[in-house]
Amino acid sequence: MKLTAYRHPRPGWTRPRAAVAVGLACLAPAAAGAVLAVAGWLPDPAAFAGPGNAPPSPAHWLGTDVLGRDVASRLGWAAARFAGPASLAVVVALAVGGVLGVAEGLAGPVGRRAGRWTAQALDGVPKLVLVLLAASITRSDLGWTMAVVGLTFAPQVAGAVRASIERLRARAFIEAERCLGVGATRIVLLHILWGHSRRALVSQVTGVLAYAVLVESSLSYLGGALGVQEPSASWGNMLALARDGLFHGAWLPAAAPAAAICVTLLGFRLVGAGLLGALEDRP
Amino acid sequence: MSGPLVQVDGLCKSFRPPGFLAGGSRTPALRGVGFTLGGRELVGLVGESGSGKTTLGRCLLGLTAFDRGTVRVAGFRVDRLGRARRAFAREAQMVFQNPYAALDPAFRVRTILGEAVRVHGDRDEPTARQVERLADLVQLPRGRLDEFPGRLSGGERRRVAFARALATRPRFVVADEPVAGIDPPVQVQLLELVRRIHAARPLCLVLISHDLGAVRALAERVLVLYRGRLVEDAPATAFFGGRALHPYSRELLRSAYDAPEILAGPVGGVRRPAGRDQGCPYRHRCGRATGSGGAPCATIRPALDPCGPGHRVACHRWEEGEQP
Amino acid sequence: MSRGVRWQWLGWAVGQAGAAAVVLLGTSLVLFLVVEAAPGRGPDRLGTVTAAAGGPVAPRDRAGWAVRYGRWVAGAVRGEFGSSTAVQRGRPVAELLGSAARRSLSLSAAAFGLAVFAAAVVAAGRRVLPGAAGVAAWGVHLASALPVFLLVYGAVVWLNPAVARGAASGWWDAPGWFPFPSRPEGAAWWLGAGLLAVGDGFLADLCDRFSAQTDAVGAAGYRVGARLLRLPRLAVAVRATVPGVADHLAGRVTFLLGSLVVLESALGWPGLGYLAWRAAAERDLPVLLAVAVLLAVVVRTAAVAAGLVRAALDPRYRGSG
Repeated sequence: MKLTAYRHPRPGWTRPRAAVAVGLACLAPAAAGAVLAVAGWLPDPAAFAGPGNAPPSPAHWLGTDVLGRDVASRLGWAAARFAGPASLAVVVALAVGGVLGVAEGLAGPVGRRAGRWTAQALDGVPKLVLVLLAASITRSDLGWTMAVVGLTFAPQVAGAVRASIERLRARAFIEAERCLGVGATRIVLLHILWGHSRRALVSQVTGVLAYAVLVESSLSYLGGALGVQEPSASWGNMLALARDGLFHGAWLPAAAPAAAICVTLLGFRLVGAGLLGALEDRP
Repeated sequence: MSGPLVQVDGLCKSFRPPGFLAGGSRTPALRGVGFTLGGRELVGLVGESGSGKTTLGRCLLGLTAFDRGTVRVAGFRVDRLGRARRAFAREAQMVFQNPYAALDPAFRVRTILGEAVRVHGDRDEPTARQVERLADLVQLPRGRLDEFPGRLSGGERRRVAFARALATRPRFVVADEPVAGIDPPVQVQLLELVRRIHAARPLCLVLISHDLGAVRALAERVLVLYRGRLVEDAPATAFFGGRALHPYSRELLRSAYDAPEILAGPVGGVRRPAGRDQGCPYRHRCGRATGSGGAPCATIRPALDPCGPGHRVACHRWEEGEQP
Repeated sequence: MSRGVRWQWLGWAVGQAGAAAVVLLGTSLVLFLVVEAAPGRGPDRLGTVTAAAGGPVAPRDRAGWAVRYGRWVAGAVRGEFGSSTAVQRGRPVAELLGSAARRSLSLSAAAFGLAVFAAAVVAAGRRVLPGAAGVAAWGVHLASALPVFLLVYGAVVWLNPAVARGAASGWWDAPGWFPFPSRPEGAAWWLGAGLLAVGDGFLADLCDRFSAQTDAVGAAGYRVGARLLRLPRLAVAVRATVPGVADHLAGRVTFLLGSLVVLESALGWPGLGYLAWRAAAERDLPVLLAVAVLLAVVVRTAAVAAGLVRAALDPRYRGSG
C-alpha cells in the first residue's frame, strides 16, 4: 500500500517502528522460554539435578542455582506460570476500565460523575498497597493478586478510553454516523475504540503487563509469604535465593533472572512507547 | 400521512457558554424561525456567517437540541427521537459541512458506504452491489471505493458524503455548504449532480450556502436568515429576478453580484443596543429605516407577512423594494 | 479578576475539595468492607486474635456494617485506628503510623523532587542539545526497565564490598552508613531517595511526559507569537507547560508510593511502606487499612493540589467541572 501523504514531523522520543521492533525482540526470550517450558523441552524445574551453582553446560544451559536446580528451566517455567495470571490482569483492566471509560465519556451527567468518582476512588489508593491487601486477604493467590493489579489499572484504561471518546465524539464523522442511525454501541466499539484508539489501548495493555511483571517479581523477591512461594519458580524469588551466592562469586543464578526482568520490562515499555508514537490520528 | 414534509414553528436556540457555573449570557442563534417545506422542493437557505444557517440545518435533523418551538420532519418530532433515530434516519439525512472531517479517516470508502447500506439498505441485494450502485449514482469511479478518505480529492469526498446520505433513501436531505471550498469547474459538476439526483429521486433538498451562485443555479425557493430570524421566503425566480424585497436580501445580492457598490451602500453600526429591543433587528444597517424617519422600524418588530404569490417578507417598508 | 469570576473560583475549589472528600469516604468504605469480609480474619502466622484487638476486626462487634464503619470513621477523625493485631500486637495503630508517616513522606518527597528536577533537566537539555536527544531517549528507556528492588539489590551487593574494600585499604574511615541498608540517614537516605526516583520507571515516565509537553509547547504557534512580542520567556513557558504536567505528576504519586513500599521493605527501613508490607505479610488488617487510607489521603491531596495549580494557570479547566 502506498502511503505518501505528508506527515508532520512528530515530537517524540524514538522512531516508533524501531522501538516496536526492538521491544518485540526483547519480549521474545521470555515468550520462547514459556513455550519451551509448556512444550516440555526443558528439564524439571524442581528436580535437584546437579551440584549447586554449577556453571553453564549442555545439560544446564544457564547452570544451576544454589540448590542444584536448572536455572533456564526455572526461568521458562516462571514465565509460563505467570502468563495466565498476567492475561487475567489485562482482561480485568480492559473490562473494568472500558466500562468506566465509556460511562465517563458517554453517559449522562449522573453516570459520568459516578464513573469519574469510581475511577478516582480506585486510583486513590496506591496500587501496590491494594495489591498487598489482596495478596494478604487471599493468602497470596497469584490469580487474585493479578486480578487486583488489573483492577488498579482500570482508571488508567478508563482515562485512555474517555480521552479518545471525548476527542472523537465532537468530530464530524462520528456525528455523521449518529445521523445515519448507527447505534451507539457500534460507534463506540468499532469507530472510536477499534478505529481510532486501538494503539492507545494496546499501549495501555503493555503498561498493565509491565506493571504485573514488576509487582509479581517485587512481591516474590520480598517474600514474606506474599509472592510466589518456593518450590514454585518466579523470577523474583530466584533472585532472592541467589543473593547469598553472589558474595561467593556465583553471579549467574542472580544475573539470569535480573536480566529476564529488565529485558521483559524494557520490551513492554518499548512496544508501548512505539505504538503511542506511531499513533496515526493525533488531535 | 397528512401535512407537509417539514414543519417548523417558533424554533429558538441559544448557546450556553461552556462550563459549569460559567458566567456570561447565552448567545442566541435562532429566534423564532418558522416555515414549511413540501414534497419535492429544492430550497436554498442563505445568510451571512453567524446568521444561524448551520444551526437551523442541524436542528432540522435533531442533531442539536433546541430550546423552544417544534420541528416535525416526516411525522417525527425531531426533539423526541430517542429510539426512533434509526427509523428517522431513513427519512432525513444530512450532507455535512466539512467532508474532510465527516468521513472517518480510519475506514475505506467501501466500508463507510457499506455501513450505511447495512443499516438501512435492501436486505435482498448484496451490500457490495448496493455500494457500487451508490457510487454510480454520484459518479464516483468504482476504483476509488477502495481508498481511504484521506486520499480522495475534495470533490470526490463530497460525492462520497452525498452517496452516504442517499444510502438510506431519505425523503429529506440537508446539504450544508455542499460546494464550499472547491474549484469552480468541480463546483459546476457537483451542482449538476445535485440537480440530477433531485430530479431522479423523490427528494426534498435544503441547500445551505452563503454562495448565492450555487443557490441561484439550483434552488426553486430561497429562505433568507438574518441573525436567527427568517426575513424573507421567496421563489427563486422572484428573488433573483429583481423582486428580492427585504433590504437585507438586496444587500446580500448586491454584495454577491456587484461588490463595489457595497462601499457606497449604507453600512450602519452592527451593534445592538442593550435591553429588550422591540424594533426591526435590521434597522441599524437598513437604508430605508434610517432614510425616512423610521417610525415603525424602531418600535415594532416586523412579522413574516405575505407579499406576493409564495413570497413572504419581514419588513415594514417592503413596498419600497418594488421600485428598482 | 471580576467579582463573578472570583465567586466562580471559590465555588470550583469548594466543589473539588468536596468531591475529593466524597471519593475518600467511598474509598475507605470499600476498603473497610473488604477487610471486614476477608475470610479468616486475624493473623494466621502469629497465633489467634486477641480480645484486645480493636478496630474493624473486633470480634464482639455485632452492629451493622454501616454503624461499624461510622465508628471507624469517627475514630479515624480522632486519630484512632484501633490496635495492631500482629505487627506489634496490641499497640495502637496511630502510634505506629505517626513516626512512619513522617519518615516515608519526607523520603518520597525527596525522591519526587529529585525526579522532577532530573526530568526537567533532561527535557530542557533536549532543546539545548538536540543531537543528544536520541541518546537520552534510549538511556531513559533503559532506566525505565530497572525495578526498585533490583536497584536496591544491586546497591547492596555492589556498594558494600566496594566500601569495605575502600575502608580496608585505608582510603577512608568506615563511613557511618556502612553497611548500606543500616539506617535511613545521611548519604544512605539520599541514595535511597535516588533509587526511588529512578526505579520502577518513575524518572523515565517523567522524562517522557516533560519532553512531550515541551515539544508540544515549543511547536505551538502562540509561543512564536509570544517570542515576537518579547513576552518574558520563562513566564510563558511556565504557563504553557505546568498545567499539563501538574496532573500527570499527581497521577504518578500512586506509583511512587508503591515503589516506596518496595524500597522500604527491601531495605528494612521503618516507614509506612515497610509497615504496609509487614502488615500484609502478617495479615494485620487494621494496620493495613489505616496505611491504605492514609496513603489515599496523600494521593487525593496531590490530585486536588494539581487541579488547583492547573485551574490557576488555565482558566478553561475550571469550566470543565
